[in-house]
Amino acid sequence: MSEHNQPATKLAGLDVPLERDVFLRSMLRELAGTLQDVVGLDEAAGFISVVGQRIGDELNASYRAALDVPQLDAAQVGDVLVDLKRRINGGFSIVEHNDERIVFGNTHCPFAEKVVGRPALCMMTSNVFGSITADNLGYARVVLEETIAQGAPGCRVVVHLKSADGHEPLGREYFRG
Amino acid sequence: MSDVSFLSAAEWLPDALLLVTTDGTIVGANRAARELVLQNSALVAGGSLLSAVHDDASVLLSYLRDGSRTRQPVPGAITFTDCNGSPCRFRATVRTVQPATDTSLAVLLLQLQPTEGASTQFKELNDRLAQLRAAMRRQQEAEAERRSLEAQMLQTQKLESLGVLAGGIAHDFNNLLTSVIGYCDLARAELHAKTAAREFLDEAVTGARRAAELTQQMLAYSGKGTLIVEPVQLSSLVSDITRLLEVSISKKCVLRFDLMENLPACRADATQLRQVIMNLIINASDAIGDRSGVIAVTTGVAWCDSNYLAENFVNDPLPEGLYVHLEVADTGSGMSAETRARIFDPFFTTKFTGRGLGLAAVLGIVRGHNGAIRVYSELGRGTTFKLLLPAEPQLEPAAPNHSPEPTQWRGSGSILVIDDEESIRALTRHMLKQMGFEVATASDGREGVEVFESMADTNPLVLLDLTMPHLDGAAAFARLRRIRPDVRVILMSGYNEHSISTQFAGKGLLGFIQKPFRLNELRKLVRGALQQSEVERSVD
Repeated sequence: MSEHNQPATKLAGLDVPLERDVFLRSMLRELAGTLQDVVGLDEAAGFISVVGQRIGDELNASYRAALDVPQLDAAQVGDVLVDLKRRINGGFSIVEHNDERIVFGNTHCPFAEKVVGRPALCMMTSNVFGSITADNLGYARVVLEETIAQGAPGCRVVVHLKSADGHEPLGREYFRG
Repeated sequence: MSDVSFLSAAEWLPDALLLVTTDGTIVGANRAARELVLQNSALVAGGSLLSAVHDDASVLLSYLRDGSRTRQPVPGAITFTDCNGSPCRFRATVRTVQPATDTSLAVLLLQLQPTEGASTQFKELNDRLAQLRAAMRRQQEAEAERRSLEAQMLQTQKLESLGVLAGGIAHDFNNLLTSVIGYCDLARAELHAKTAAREFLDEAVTGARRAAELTQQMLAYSGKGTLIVEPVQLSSLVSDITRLLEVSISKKCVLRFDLMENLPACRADATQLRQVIMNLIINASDAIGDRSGVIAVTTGVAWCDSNYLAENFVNDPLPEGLYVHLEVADTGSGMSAETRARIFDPFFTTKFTGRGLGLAAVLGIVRGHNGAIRVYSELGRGTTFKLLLPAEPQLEPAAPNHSPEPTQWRGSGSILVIDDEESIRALTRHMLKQMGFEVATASDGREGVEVFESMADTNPLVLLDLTMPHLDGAAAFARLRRIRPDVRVILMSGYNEHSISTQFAGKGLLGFIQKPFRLNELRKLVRGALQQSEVERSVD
């Protein structure tokens, strides 16, 4: 038996870039890539929006329960969005926060390098941020001004809190469910 | 533009569109939606979409709620119940047209496409891939067919060019061999029975006959060999030449026979089939070489379908049916795929002393018999050749002809020999004189007609060469018939009797002799021809 264990021990020590997190991120990257390639970016973004919205709902419920509040206020929403990104290694921070909008910036993405060329994955951020904000504050319009996925060094995400006056406002609008 | 006018316009859009609230209440549905989902218009105004849903209504409500929370399109799937009560699945996209307020539910635009007919990019891609695959398959099939046709055409061209070559060789070479063999026979007849010179002459004739066989093999490959078709039973044919086969192979080879009794007959030239069997047996022996080995000869009968026949070496399309087969299997060295692909090419040989015509002749003979040949071979294990010939169970095999040769027969009267080859004229004159005939000669068709006209009163037997300058055999024959419709003509040629017999069918040809011929063969033919004409004359 020891003869069989010997190679396993050797393999375990090899420098292979594989662990659960990398594996799951790789899988998501490939799933998103396949969706984008097969059904196109818009439809892929739609599918990922549904996932983002559901996860956003779960996270919202979790934070409300943890904070023991029926609803988050604007400040809590900003903090929650930064915290949830921190927990998943997203490195987000609030650049600006006022009654009109919350502006987030980051230097790295939870999907890390796996997000490059996969803008559909950004719908996760848009929908999680949008659904949590809209469910607590009534409305959100998320604009992904810069994204790592599209080659920027960092992301700049603006969550507008007031309904836009324009007929076709920039970004994605979210409403309380 | 007001909402009402927008809905009026939407009525005629080809997409199925519905305006619904998050509780499933239908605010409006265009014509396509009514036809696609609702089947009737009664549900439209103020009706609930939930009543048409086949699944759990909560799934639809959840989906509508998801849609109401963003203005972006949210994809999903809904299963409705069609007018027959069966489930009918649709791909859906929902998006908020008017967000919910404190007093009103959100109004959503629901767009539907049947799953089967939905032309998603995925489906389009798949369809395009399928089309591409089909186009590629068609292209590959066309390419394979083109290559096959090219190969067939090449083979046909090869056969044709070799046929021309073989025909030329047959004409000139056979004339030379006819002289050699004929004069040897004449010289032999002049010698006493026990002189050593007779044996030398016999050896010379044997050598000349082998040279003639070489020509015959080339003719066989080209499909122009002599073809005397008769009912043949393969098992009997093999049995008849068992002794010959045994002495033709290496002493270390063992011949085994598994010959089917009562095998159906086939229509074939027995001489050519013997040549095929001999060639295959000698090849098998050569493949075994100096080692010990077994050569198995098997006969049988089987029903062959078109697929089976299409896999054979001979590509000519053959009809399905009953085929008799002859297998020659050896335990010799076998062949590589490269060798196997070329074995039937004329002049291709792997033997040091080979001429490369044996299997080429086999192929020609098989083609000439509307048969096919299969080859199985494995390096180091051996080779099997399987010959297939159309079976004709209704035919009775011809009985062998054992009539004694008329070695001492003598005739009388006059015979005209028309041949452009001086040596053939001289030899044939000598042979016929030895039989007791008066012989006149002519060096081409035109001269032959003139000489015949001068002798027309005696109606001499005419030995007429087929290929000649000025006036060939066929044209000369026609002129002779004009002079005397009862002219008695025996044709001489190096070409095959089959094509000649069709050319002269019904024209009263008395016989045919293929060059090179021997004294006894000519004697037998002339005797038979004269006897036949005597019979016909007495009947008239």
